[in-house]
Amino acid sequence: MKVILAGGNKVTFNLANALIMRDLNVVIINKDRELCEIFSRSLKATVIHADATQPETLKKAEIFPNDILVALTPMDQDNLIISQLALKVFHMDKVFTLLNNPRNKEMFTAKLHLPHVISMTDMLSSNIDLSIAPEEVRTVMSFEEGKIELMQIQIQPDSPACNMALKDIDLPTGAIVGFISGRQEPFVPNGETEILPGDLLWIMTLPLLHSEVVEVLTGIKNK
Amino acid sequence: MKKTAKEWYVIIVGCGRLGSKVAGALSDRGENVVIIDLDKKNFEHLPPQFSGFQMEGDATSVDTLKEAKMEQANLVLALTDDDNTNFMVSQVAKEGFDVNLVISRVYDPDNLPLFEQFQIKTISPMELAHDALMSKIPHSPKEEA
Repeated sequence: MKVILAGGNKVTFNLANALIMRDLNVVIINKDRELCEIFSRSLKATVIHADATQPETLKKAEIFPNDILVALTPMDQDNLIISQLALKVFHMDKVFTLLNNPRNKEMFTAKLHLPHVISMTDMLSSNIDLSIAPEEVRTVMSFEEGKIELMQIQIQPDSPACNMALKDIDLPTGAIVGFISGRQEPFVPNGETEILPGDLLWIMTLPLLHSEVVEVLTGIKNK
Repeated sequence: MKKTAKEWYVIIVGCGRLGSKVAGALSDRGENVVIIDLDKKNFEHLPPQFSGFQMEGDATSVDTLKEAKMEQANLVLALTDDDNTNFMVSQVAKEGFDVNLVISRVYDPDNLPLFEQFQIKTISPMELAHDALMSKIPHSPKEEA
């Protein structure tokens, strides 16, 4: 199985690097000759200098249906045609589409049925949230195109949730403490579990409830 | 409902030589025409008697197409000089706004199968030129003999 990265520049470079470190077979397709030279000099990847929006190019890359393709160009129309070629002509299903214009998101996902649409804006905004969050709060990851979030909150001695049983903490419906780690081996808590200083709470939540969860557990208000 | 409308509400994307000419002809026939282009200078191509709407905007943003009331259109013509833009406009018209008739210009013949897979009608300048050219070249005398 290989991962085909179509278009893009720095993101492509760094993504390729990360994938190669995981021992994946990476193929980069880019129409910029200079970038291709840089890629092939510094990455252990197959580099094809060509326009990925052309069916001929994807044929040359010897794509198989179980390969992964990521469309990374800065133009939504280019990413759309690359993705549809991969899906409909090359019968792939692991196709990821970078979305540049957030206003096209609903169209790409609900109407055009692209399986994995990644919104640059959503990613950036969740990262900005991260940088303005208090230090005991971390957003670890998001899933389902940002609809589910995994966050980590460290309990301080002065946190309102400290020394309370989990069942007495007024967490919103839509957020759940899945694991507690920090002071001991990670374990799944129940309602009777008492939250102690130094506990690290692993919380699955809807992004919408992020600030409410933070406030209930740490007392820190957003804004 | 737009499906039973007696006249065309047509959105043309791309006001180059072809787009502007078709827009003029359809407007002469009394159809409702909206023409979209990124660059308002391109509207200079339109004939003086054109009575439709001109809209400056990026047709690869769904907002522009909403503003053009694509949900009411029953004909969309994607006539920019970029196949990828034409594909996006056509697919969004077809799947996103349920437009019955969508016709796209496709420069690269290799792209034709993909457009056809999404029931987008196509015109290929290369094939049109090829057919026109071949029809002007008579068979060689030796074949006629």
